[in-house]
Amino acid sequence: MNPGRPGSASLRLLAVLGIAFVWEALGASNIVYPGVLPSWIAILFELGDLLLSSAFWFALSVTLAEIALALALGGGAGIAIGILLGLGRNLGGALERYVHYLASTPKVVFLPLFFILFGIGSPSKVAIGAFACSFPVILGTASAMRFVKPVFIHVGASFGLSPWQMLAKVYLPSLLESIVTGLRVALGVAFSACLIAEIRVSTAGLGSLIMASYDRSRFAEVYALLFVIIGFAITGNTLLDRLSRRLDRRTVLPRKVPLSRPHS
Amino acid sequence: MGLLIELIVRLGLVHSFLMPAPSAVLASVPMLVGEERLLQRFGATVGETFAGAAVAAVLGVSIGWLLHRFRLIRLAFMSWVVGMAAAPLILLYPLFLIFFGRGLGAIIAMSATAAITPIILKTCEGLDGVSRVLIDVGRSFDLTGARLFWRICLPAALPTIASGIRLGLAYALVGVVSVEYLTNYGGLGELITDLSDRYEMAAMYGAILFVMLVSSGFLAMAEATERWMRPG
Repeated sequence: MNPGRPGSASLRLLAVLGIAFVWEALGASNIVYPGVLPSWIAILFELGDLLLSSAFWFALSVTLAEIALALALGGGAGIAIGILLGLGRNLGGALERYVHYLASTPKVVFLPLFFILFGIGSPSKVAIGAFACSFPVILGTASAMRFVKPVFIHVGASFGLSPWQMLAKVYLPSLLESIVTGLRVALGVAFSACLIAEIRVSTAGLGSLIMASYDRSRFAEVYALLFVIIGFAITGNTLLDRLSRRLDRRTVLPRKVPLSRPHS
Repeated sequence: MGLLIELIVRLGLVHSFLMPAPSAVLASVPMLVGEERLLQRFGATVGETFAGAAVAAVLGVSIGWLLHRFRLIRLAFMSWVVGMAAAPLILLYPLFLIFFGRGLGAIIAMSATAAITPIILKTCEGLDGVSRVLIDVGRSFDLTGARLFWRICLPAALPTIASGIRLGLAYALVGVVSVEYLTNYGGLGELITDLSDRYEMAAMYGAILFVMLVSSGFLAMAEATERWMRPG
């Protein structure tokens, strides 16, 4: 893949137009149930209507605020737990296995608990989002702790740094790139967890708009809303990807080289 | 850990409604297996997962091969596939309900969609990474086209493809249980909705623990299979 190549952007555009054409043809032919594949024009019109309605902007702001808060809480907790797991090498390694397996569990099954603990409003959405998105950050940070160069730790120790200084001057700079990568995964997880919670028990936000449109069989509106959400998720992911690439260029550490543990 | 929680709940530090005592959770197991047909539900969920992952594997490997083989297709679609891999695809489930109705079709389609992107990307990566030497050896034995692919490229790429399928299987399980929970239809996901709607707290904790056990077991099994497949 070579995104910078001239012509590849227009090719990608052409691919989308091709898919749109097939979609349109499939919808217009009566192969699928009518109304199931609304025309692109109808979806674009719905999108225009949405962008003009104040309810949409309110729902969008609620959802984005929930996701941002979930990412901040879950990401922060994830970094802290990841560093602690990495520091306590033996116990941490044992616990990391559990986190590794727990991370594969579908997080939605915990939703009933969060509804009981935090009610059905925004707090439960933020809580499940934070819970779900902490896992990739924990695992990314904890495994990156193993690749912090022992030399740096020894140098820090020989300068007599306090634990906080060690954290700020030695660990965090070395972990930065892995943390950003973890956050990138966490963003997608937070998106789905928050929106699933909104869809499941709707009080506010884009998820409740989707369910409202779905219940009234306004399928074009469902498609328009989903495109908005997925567009936001992909944009957020791209921004974090850019950030991690910039960090990658700046970083002085040799990355992803397994280093042996300090022999001391 | 279990004893600690038991003690906390018995002492009344946490309300037993929020956090049932582990003994109560254990006591709910016969009810889960008997009345709630836990094992049949487990079978349904696992079956749906494998069905979804199988559909995803067939389609994903084919699409991965297309992306590997044809430069034009890769230029046109690769970045979209990468974008899809990052998107929260589970949110598409209302679309699958629209397409397939609330039932098995929607669940399998959803899990296949969730599973397909890692399989496509890993297949592509695996086929791209086949070493030049292996292909040259094949050429020197006069292998061409399809035979070169089946005898050399596919076996060489297989470990990478297998790890893609492992990821896909994990994604498929998440997709299945999520859609079951959301649409209240099918196996283990539906059980959790049911129990929480009836406020059967102890049994609900039991069911959640069972789902954790199942997904961990899945992961462990897939990892073991992958280790076994990887040469050396």
